[in-house]
Parts: sequence; structure tokens; C-alpha cells
Amino acid sequence: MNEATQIPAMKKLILLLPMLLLFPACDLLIPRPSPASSKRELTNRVVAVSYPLQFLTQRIATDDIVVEFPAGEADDPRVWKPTIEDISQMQKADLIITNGPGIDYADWLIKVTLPDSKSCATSESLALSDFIKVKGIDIVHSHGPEGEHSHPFMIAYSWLDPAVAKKQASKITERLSKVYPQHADQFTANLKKLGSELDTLKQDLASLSEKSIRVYSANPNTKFLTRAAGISEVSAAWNVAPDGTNEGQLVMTDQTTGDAGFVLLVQSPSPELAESLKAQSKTAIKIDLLDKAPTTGDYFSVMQENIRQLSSAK
Amino acid sequence: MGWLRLAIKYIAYHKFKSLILIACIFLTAFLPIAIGLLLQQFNQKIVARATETPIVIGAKGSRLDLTLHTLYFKTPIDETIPFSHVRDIRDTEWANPIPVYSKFTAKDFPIVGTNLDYFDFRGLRLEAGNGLVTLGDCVIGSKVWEKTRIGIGETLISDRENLLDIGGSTPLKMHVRGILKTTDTPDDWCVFVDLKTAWIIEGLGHGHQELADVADEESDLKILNRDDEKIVASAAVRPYLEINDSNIDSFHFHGETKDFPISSIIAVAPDKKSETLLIGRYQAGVDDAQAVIPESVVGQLMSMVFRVKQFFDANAILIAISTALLLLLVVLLSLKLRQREMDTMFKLGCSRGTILLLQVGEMAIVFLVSAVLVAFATGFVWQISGGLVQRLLLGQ
Repeated sequence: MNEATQIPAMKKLILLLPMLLLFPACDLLIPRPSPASSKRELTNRVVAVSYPLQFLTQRIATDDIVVEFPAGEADDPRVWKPTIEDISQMQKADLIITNGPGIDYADWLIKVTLPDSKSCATSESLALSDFIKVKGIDIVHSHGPEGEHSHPFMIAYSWLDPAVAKKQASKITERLSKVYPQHADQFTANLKKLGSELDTLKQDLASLSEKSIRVYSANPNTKFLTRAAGISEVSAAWNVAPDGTNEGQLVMTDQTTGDAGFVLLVQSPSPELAESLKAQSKTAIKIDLLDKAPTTGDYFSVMQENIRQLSSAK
Repeated sequence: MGWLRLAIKYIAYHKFKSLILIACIFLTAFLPIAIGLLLQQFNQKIVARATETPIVIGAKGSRLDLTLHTLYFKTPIDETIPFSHVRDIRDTEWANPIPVYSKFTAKDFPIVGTNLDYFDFRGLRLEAGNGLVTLGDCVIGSKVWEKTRIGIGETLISDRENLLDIGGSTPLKMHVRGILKTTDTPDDWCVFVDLKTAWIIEGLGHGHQELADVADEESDLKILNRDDEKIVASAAVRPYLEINDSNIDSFHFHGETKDFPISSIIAVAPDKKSETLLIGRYQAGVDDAQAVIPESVVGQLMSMVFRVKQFFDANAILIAISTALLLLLVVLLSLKLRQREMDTMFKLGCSRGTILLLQVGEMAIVFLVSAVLVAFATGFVWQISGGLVQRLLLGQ
């Protein structure tokens, strides 16, 4: 660098120093940090917390969207214990389809951290009359500052009523269309087709109401099904001794509804229970709540089997 | 350049006098510059954070407290709003509502209950470990890790609200799941938990021993009454203080989550129209909540601060003038005292111009040294001002 170029630089420095002294409050231009981007890359993965929701979503979605049911392998998907990896994978999905408030299905959902903006609570599409609330059957207890309390609960198995399932499907379509707007038309067309199948199922179920069926129901989770079928339920409870010896003794808990010859079960009766039912002249009807994906068939075939089982209770 | 050598020698010989002159000029110039710099940093930091936060919704009351609490988690706010506001906003689809509940602390660092969207919104990335996974997990900011050295897999206990209130919130032993990268924002000084974990610390949710399983020898202590339908437990049934695999299933909440408290909501609207609609909704008819635009609130605060600063600027100018006059007086008196010295130099053959140059050179060197010191000190303040302002804002 020669002297000729050094002089202007020195002049600049000499000019700068008084400026620093004379303008202490001069604005120093500092670039502002840009706000963090909330855009996410799509993975074309959607997670559903139950088999029916997975089924409905897969029917609505296009082939390039994978709809997973991570709890599918669990013995009881409702009380599944996800691993950290499971939760991490769910957090990365584009959409998480849940039943939502009022029909909360997966007990584990409240114990894990999932992004709210990706959660699709299908219950948001339901009317108040669609929900079913059951008086607390848990033990009333008291501890801490809030005093004596029990836990009344809402029935979660909304998909057993095809009309409710159709509303949930609408909500799923709405959210899918927002996440994948390029496929919105296809989603709507798929929903229309699915909706007509659900309507047919609804009619099949409603036709049972003409048969004046009366059943015992010891499990409140069948209520969406019996309500849609117009079946009179006699609420009952199993009287089980601590040692299990009295298993199968049926005790009516609602005396006003009268007697019935059929008992709704959600799993095959044990030999002792089958014997006990036989002694009480009761016939067991097994209802599949669709907690797990059927080994053969799908949601519709299982629901048709449920209808067939119910229609036998005349 | 003999005059320069003589000037330097003179300054070196009269060290004390020269140092006083340099100190006078340095302090007069540096203090306003330092204050200006710090204020500028303060403005930049607070405005940047506010600008990044489009809308804050919270309880009616002080807009400034609500804004500062949501941005810095330090200013306490007395009123909360129910979580139902989050669902209401989500239902409108005008914005993505990010709840914030910051009431408790852990080792004096604020515990911020929020959801995963907050991390995306603020651009928070993990330095190590995983994000929030289950109830009882926490993710700590980089400064929290620096100060506590509590690492991944270790536990961090929430502070008691009041040591004398044994019936108050129960401390929760949280599992540190991850450490965030440094962002030079208040988020570095926070302990992040899922909103549900914050509610558990609040006491709205808990886990406890299954009452039906209480052993006979403990039942006198823990069971007040038992019949076919209900069991009434005593206060001896204490909630679990840690959430782990063995007891997580027993955790539950009492009441409707829609009624549970949150400090505020950061509403991230996709466009200006949605933003306007949302603000309009809260201005029009939501009784218990208000919507504020942090940029506007902070802008008002800073305009007030800058108005006050004008007084300081005027003061600085007056001090500069008085210092300049004093310096002039000192120089004139010095010249008077050195009259015989100058006469001697003249008689020795030194020209009047050289003598003038000598005296101007002495003053120029004093000013130059002062300016260099000011420049170095300014650079130093510039370096530390970011952290200094951050600490000031966070009250650390």
C-alpha cells in the first residue's frame, strides 16, 4: 500500500473520531434477527391414534400419504406406552389424528408431548348431542386440596356410530386439505364415497331398532353402537369377588330398565362366565370395539359383523 | 518533527497534569457514548423480540406487564386466562395460538409451560438430547445448563412458591431431556416444560397411589372412610413428586383443561387480515382478556425512554461545554505560566510558529490519547453490551 492511499484513510479516521465524540447517541445500524420460520417440510406421514381413525384417514387420503397407527401392535392400543422413539416419530408427522375432547380415546395422549398445531381433534366437528357421558364408575376418593371426587367419563368409541364417524371423517378431510392443499379435490371426492358407505352402514344399524332388542350391557363402551341401533340397554355390573370366584355373577345397576336375555360383551367369555350366563339363561353377544385392526376385513366388515351379532338378540 | 518530540517529552514529564486532562476528556466523551450504546442495544434487543412476537393475548390489566412477561418471563402477572382461549383462537383459524404459562421457577430460572410450536416459532434448536416427550420432562436453555451444570438424564426440582406454605404447590422433580442451543435471547435462561407438566406443578394434575391397593397396615393412616362405592383418603396420600415409567399411568387431571390457567397466548397469524380480525375480536367483546401488539407496546415504552434520554443528552452537551471551557482555562493559565519558557525558546532561535505548533501539538496528543481510549472503551462496551442488556432485561 503506498502513501497516497494511506492519507485518505487517515483523514477518514481523523474525521471519524470527532464524530464518535460529538454524536454519542447516533444510531448504530444493527441487523435485526429474522423471526424464526415456522414452515415445516412435509413428510407425507399422518398418524392416527386408533384403528378406525387410521382407516377413515387412509380412505380419504391419497396413495402417496402414509397413514400410520403406531399403537396398532399393542395389546391394548388405548393404554399403549409409546417409547421415546415412537413419540419422536409422531412429532415429525404432518398430522396427528385424534378423537379429541369429549371422546378422548388414547389415554397415553395426555401423557406425551405432541405439537398442537399438527393435532386434528375430530371431535371438533361433533354436536353436543353426539357425545355420551357416563356417570363415574370409579371409586370416589379424596386427597389434597380439592376434596372428595370421582372421575365421570365420556365414551370414546365414537366410530361405532357411523353417523358420528362420518362427521369425524369430514374433519379429517378438512385438515388434510389444509396440510396437503394440492390434493384437496381428491380428498373431497374420497370423502363423498366414504360418506355414502357410512350412510349405508348407518341405515343397516338403524334397521335394528325395529326389532325391539333389549340387552344387558356391562361395558359402557358399546353405547355408541347401541344408541345408533336404537337398542334398549339394561345397565349392569359384574360382581367380582377379590379372589375372582364369583366372576360372572350379573348384577343389575339400573332397576328401572327391566330384564333382558342377552348380554353384550367386548371379548369372548371365559368358560366360567359362559357357564354362569347359561345358568342365568342369558346369551352372550360379542361386540368388537375396533380397538385393533381386524386380521381380515376392515372397519366396514367388522361393523357388519357387529350388526349381525346384535340382530341375533331378538 | 522536533516540536512533536518536545511535546511528547513535555506530556511525559507532566504526567499528573496530562492524565487529569485525558481523564476529563475521556469521561466527558465516553459516558454519553456508553449510555447511548447500552440504550441502543436495549432498544434493539427488546424491539427485536417484540417484533418477532406478533400478538399477545392475556388477562386484562397492564399491557406492558403482559408483554414483558410473555417476552421475558420475568415480570410477574397476577391474572391468568383460561386455556379455553387457546381453543377459541384455534377454532377461528385466524392464528396458531401458542400458550405460555410461566409461574414457577427451578433454581430461580423461570419454568415455561408451553407446547412444541413455541420451539419452532422461536427457532429453538437442540444442542444435545431430545425435545419434550412425556409429562415431567424439561428442556433447558444453554445459560441454565451453564449455571447449574445439570445435564441430560439428570433431574431438576421446581422451587416451592413459598417455603412456609406447606399446602402450596408441590415441587416436581423434572427430567432434563435436552439442552437448547444458545440464542442470546431470554429463552437461554428458561426451563421449558409441556403445559401439562406446568399444570401438574400447579397441582391441577397429579398421580398417587391407587387407593384400592392401600395395604391394611396403612389404611388407618391413609383411608378415612371406605364403603362399596367410595374410598375417602386422608392427606397422608401424597401425590408423586416425580413422574416416571412406573407411576405415569396414575397421573390425571382434575377439572376441565379448558378452565386451566395460562399466563398468555402468542398468536401467530398467517396474514395481516387474520391478525386484524383476531385483534378486533378481542377489542370488541372478550371480557376477561385483551390482545396486545408487543411491537406497539414496546415502541411506546422506548419512545418514553428516549424522551428521558433527551434530558441526558442535553446534560451531556452542557457537561461537554463546561469541560471544554475548563480545559480552555487550564490551557490559558498554562500558557501564562509557561511564558518564560516560551521566551527562552524564542531566544534560543525557535520560531513563533514552532512554539505555537508545540503547544497545539501537546493538546492534540492529549485529545488523541483520550480519543483512542474512548474508542477502546467503546469497543469493550460494545462487546459486553449484549450480555449486559440481556441480564438487565432478565433481571439475572
